[in-house]
Amino acid sequence: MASSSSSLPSPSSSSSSSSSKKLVLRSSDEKHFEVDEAVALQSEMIKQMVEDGFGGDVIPLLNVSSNILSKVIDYCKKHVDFDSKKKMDDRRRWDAEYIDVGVDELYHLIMAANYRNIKGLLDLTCQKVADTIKGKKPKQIRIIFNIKNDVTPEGEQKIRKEHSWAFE
Amino acid sequence: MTMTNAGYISSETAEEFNDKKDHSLTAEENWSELPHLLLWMIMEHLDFVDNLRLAAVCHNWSFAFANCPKKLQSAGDTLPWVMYPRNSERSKLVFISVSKKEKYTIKLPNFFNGTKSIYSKQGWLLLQRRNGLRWFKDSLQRIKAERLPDSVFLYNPFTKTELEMPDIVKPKDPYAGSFSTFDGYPHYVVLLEYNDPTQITLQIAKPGDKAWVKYSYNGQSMPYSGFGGLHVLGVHVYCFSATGGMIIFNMRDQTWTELPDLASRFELSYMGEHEGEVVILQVRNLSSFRFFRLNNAQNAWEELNINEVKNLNWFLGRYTCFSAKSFGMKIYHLYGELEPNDRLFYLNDQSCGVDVIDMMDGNTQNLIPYVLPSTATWVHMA
Repeated sequence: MASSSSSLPSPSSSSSSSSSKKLVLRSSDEKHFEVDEAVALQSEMIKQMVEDGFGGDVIPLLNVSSNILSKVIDYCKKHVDFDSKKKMDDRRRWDAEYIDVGVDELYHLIMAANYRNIKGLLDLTCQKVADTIKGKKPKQIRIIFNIKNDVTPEGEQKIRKEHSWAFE
Repeated sequence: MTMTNAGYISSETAEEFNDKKDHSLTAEENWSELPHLLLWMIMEHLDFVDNLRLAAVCHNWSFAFANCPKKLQSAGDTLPWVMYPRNSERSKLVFISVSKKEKYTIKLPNFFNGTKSIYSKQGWLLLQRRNGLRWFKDSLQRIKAERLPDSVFLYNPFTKTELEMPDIVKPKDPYAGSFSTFDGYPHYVVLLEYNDPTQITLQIAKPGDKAWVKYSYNGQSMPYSGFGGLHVLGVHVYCFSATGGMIIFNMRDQTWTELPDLASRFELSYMGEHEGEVVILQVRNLSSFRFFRLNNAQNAWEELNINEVKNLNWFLGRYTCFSAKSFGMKIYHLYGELEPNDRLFYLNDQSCGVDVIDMMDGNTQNLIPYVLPSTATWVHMA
């Protein structure tokens, strides 16, 4: 892959070692975040952009607000730490505390993780949604996630009729 | 590196920054409009029952469920369930999920009198139905009765799919059954006739085949005395006897291998499956345990230490055994289970129950707070 690396900034241009190289991210509300490259590269999408030569300037993240972006950066920062130390218990504890958020914030996080393609955060958010749904009836799920029941009577009946046992 | 631009926010301050914001969703940002790819990823963390309930939440979620590329054939909750026919109406089967401790009543249209489940795996039930007698006159004009062929079929109560198997002509009771799976579907179905301890007979077919192919073995050094378990893994059929003997049939090479009896001071041996291999649990008084693995390459038993079977739980009845990965080292003991043939005609007296025994500390707990009918058995819905 020597040809693609030619578009990357040369290592000598960074101030010291490659680990302290910084990238600047811009949220949808025009806030700038300076983060270590290793942190930003947790996102497959940013990684791709850097590889394509967009790493030198500010990286615009069009549909992530600054409050969600800062939360996402928290995750990536911590996980760069974890990756180098490999303490599974610590990681699990930290993740559990991190993801203890309301459903609205969870929505933004899952969408950001999906759009930025951050695998760890995507798994964590999906697991959180699944844990919230687990053992609940459709009515309770609708209340928790503030979802309007737009299932047509026929559509709903089909699932309920075929599998009535699961709804009794 | 020092920060000079006031518009820059370093991630160190992100936490306090975060606290001040509210995250309320706009009209377009809506859980019901979650992309299907994300819903599918969420569904992977849920079992079948939870996914059915997810599908009933709203139109988009229902659509995602219906179009999920990975069709769930099983309960997906990793642990076996307890099953028994309802007393009043035998085509209605009661299932109890061990992990959820919930009870479901599922109608099986083809499960009427004379039908019994002889094996189950990944949501599929292998069902055998006795079809009564045919009366005829022999050459001397005497009236004789002949047993009609048994029907054998596979049924998935979740997808309501039925797979036909050939009839069993001139069935010889008792026989056991088992099958391997491929991609979530039953693959090789194997029946084992064991009424004669000096000869065992296997009948093998795939769903949709026209007839069973018979293979018999009578070279055993020890009689096959009593059924102890039947497993089909890959091309191997494992016939375990009640005394700890093992006869293995290789379906590819059509060869038989016999293993010496597991020397045992123990009362009971059970055959399970762990990471694609056959494992044996030996139990004495439900308080001491030993584990063995079958070394396929050397055709020999190897005793396992406890660390190697940690997080393997056992679901035992008198006639059924399943092993499943789950936290801890537990035995789910279904006591009072009847022999499969007796389950056919027995009226439900209430004499079954499930105890959970922790193999590490010996603690025993009752799983279900009520008594179950004696027709109850374990089924592998996971």
